[in-house]
Amino acid sequence: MKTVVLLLLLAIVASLASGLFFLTKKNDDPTRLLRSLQIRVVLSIMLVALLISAYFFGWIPPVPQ
Amino acid sequence: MSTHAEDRYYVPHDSHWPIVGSAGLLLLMVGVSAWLNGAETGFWVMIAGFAVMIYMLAGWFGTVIGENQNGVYNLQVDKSFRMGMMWFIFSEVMFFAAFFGALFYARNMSVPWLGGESNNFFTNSVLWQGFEATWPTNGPGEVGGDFTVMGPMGLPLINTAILLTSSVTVTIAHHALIAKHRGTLKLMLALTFLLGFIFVGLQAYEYVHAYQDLNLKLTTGIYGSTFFMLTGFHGLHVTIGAIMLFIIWLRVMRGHFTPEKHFAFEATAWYWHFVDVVWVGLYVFVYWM
Repeated sequence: MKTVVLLLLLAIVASLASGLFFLTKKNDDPTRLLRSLQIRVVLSIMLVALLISAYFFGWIPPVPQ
Repeated sequence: MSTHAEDRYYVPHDSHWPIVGSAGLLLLMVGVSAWLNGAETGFWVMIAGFAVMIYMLAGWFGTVIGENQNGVYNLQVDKSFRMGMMWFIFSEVMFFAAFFGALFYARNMSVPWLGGESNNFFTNSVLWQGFEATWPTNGPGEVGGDFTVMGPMGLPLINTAILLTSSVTVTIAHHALIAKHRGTLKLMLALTFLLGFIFVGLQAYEYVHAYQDLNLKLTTGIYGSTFFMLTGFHGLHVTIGAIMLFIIWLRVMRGHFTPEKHFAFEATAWYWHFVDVVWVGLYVFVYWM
């Protein structure tokens, strides 16, 4: 489970980094940056949804209280 | 006009902003050092320094926006803005890498070593006898006394939802700008910075709760210091990002940006996504695991 969380985090960072590439490189298609950031948002929502599900189904223990 | 030439970099002449900025920084530093050394007037000098800095930043950015709207920038200037943003982001990534690194080092290395892991048997048995390495901890000295950990559900989850929602709204605004839907752009951008300010407000509320009810403070050993340094500096960046979005919103209201040319919008939107990704990382490593 932790591996899935870490992989999702890596994918989020990768999509953000690809956005940075399109941001700093002058190109004629502004939708490429937008697409990278859309993917980033969808992945982040998936990750948080996964964490909430993990909490309710007991897949992953949060920091001990 | 020579300023439009592709081979010539636009250089503003007779700009007074650099000297105003220098004076502001001087006032700020003299004020802070005098104040820290017990001189009460130092506080007011520091405030004056802040005021001059805000005046300089607003004025200088305003000048740059005006120059941009007047069309004096060519492709070289465009490239330099992109490079400037890239190095700014690089410094931000390094900044947060240091704090995440500190959390990783404390949690996975130094605390286990104090508990006797690796080749540190005698560290534990001689120096910190009976200390069992767990996380969260305020260390073998129990610095700051008993405390309760900030759990991931409740307020932190609400804050996560708020920041994620703001990322959705900024993405809709981004799409609306390219698709020429100015109404949607204005509304979604306004929602984004409002959500950002709500996040900061709730974070302040969480800190009050931590200090008053959980005895979780900046001085609560390694857990307290990493918790507040990471979430505190993140909160500062949300504040900066929300101010940037507010300025971009004001520019949108004045009719700035076209579907083809909107680098300031792109840079600010990317920065907001970066701040959200840092929060997702924080939520996973500080609140969850």
